[in-house]
Amino acid sequence: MITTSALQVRYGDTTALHPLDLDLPAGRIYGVLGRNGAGKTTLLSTLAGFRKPSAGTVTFDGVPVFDDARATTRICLIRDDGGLGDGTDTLRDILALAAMLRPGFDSVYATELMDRFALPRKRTLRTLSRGQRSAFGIVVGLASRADLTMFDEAHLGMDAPSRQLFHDELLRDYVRHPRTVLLSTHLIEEQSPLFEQVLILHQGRLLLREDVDDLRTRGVSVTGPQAVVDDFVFGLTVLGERQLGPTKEVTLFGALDEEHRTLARRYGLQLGPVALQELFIHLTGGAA
Amino acid sequence: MSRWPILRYLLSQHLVFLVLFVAGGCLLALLVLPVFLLFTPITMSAVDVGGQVLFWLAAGYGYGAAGLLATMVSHGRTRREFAWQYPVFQLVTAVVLAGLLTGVYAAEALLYRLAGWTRHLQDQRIFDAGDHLLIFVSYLCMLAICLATGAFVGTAFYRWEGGGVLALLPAAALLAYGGAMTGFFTLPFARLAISGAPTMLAVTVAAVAAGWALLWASVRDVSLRTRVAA
Amino acid sequence: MFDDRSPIYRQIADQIKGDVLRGVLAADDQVMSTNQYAAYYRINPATAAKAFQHLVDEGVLYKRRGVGMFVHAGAQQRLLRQRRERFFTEVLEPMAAEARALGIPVADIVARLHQLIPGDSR
Repeated sequence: MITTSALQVRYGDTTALHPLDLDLPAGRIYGVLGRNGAGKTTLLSTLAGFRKPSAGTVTFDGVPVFDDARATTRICLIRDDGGLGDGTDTLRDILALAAMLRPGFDSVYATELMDRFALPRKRTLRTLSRGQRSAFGIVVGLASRADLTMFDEAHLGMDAPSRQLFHDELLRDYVRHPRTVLLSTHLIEEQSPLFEQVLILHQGRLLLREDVDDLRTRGVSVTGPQAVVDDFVFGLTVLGERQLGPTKEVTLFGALDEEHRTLARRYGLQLGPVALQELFIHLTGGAA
Repeated sequence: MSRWPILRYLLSQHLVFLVLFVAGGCLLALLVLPVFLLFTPITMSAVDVGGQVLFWLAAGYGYGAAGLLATMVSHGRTRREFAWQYPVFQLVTAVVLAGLLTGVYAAEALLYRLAGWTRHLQDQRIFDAGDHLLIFVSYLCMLAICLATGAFVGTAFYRWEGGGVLALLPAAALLAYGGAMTGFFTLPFARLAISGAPTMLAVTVAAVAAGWALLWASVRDVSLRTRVAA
Repeated sequence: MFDDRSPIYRQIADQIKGDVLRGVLAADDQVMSTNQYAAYYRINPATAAKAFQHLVDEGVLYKRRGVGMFVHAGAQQRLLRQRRERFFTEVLEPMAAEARALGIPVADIVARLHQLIPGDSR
């Protein structure tokens, strides 16, 4: 279990992460969503001990994460920047390095993944394409078999088939070696089926944390004549609205009770589900 | 899992590379040497002239410590582990390279004698051509100081970015007085009247310890940067 | 595969119920394991597990410890009964409302239904 208490991160005058209390029980796959600059990378970096909290604590099974080998050897954060080795190192050397530094590293599995992603072992890190570098990060991240494995947009630059391979391997290895996984992503539609829970960050705060399947029921769109819709949504949580001529569509947050459903039927209003991505857009301030 | 992973990695990969690199450099010099003979008779010790390059290479290599630290942390190791295993590696490296250079001095002496060349060292050297113990200690001290200095300057720039400039002050002092002490480079204002291997070793221990203290100050709570991806 | 507008566990459950209803999955047939299902459809295993638990609770599937999940013998009949009950409220009533709005006479609808479902012209 990873626990933060009053965790706060500041860069000079700007607060990247406002005080955050979070418990993430082990053995689940969490999605971390948020717009650019919402604090995703800051949060993951701090959870991994890459960065020291400005205030508050992060512990992993009770052990402080910052600079304590009992915790850090069990944590792996893969970022999109290829920071796994020197640019002049070959992939083979970096894998050998990881095997020396990581207690649980599985070199056989790493080799298997290298083949699957068709990565050239003798090439150096700096000569890889963006997508290849991301794929290599995923190889290291999965083969590290860390109890807490985090991918911070580790799929950047990967084409659709490679991403699919990533998702397949992630699930396959997660089932064989259960662990806690955090994935930060903008690919909501594509990756949300992988998650059990989502954390939505917005402007350095945790906006929402929920089972992703529950979240899929949380949005309702109401469509009908403007005046009727306005009446109907009075007192409900309105996330956004659009108008086309006399017709209005309003996106509501929170499941509708039976009374409202009956009412909607009587007034001839159309109720519809809201896709996760759309809900996310509305929750984080709309498409501004 | 085996212990001291960072140290094991550095010794098995980096040290091997450094030794091969330096040995290769010496061999290359040996091949180039006869070319000079075409123009002028040889009177100077080649290794004594060329050996100085090593210190700048050592400082430059030490400068890469920050990148190395970032890599270690990315693979789940701690700054604490790095801060003691890396200096141990530097020490071993200094001993091995100083030994290598001393061996080259000895081999060169033999070569010159066979060829009938005269062999002078540079004036400011504190050791004589045949004093292999003092040659070893001088190289050891200067290499250790250069490696430690490079490392804390590199990590200071990583940690404080522009503010790392301040680290250049202690760095310059360490290099100037280290150079004066070992006789590898002398500046008019930096002179040390130190003689004998034991005193030199004692001063080096203090200097290197200061370098490592500064290294620790730079890395103890440093945040990993997000490297700008190309 | 699955859409993002309703809980995936429910979509899985509906899909399996559909298979049982159509007889694709017969009584005492074994269904895929949670992990196989998760891997095949690239979904979180907990989501698949939730769907299966749902189906066990509803009496569509039963568990055999250490072996897997199987289709309940009476499941098809029970689902058929449920669907028939829901047919009038969920399918026919909206259709009737639509027909009235469009002014389609009942006789036309009945005639078309006879065409669509021959053999049943009582």
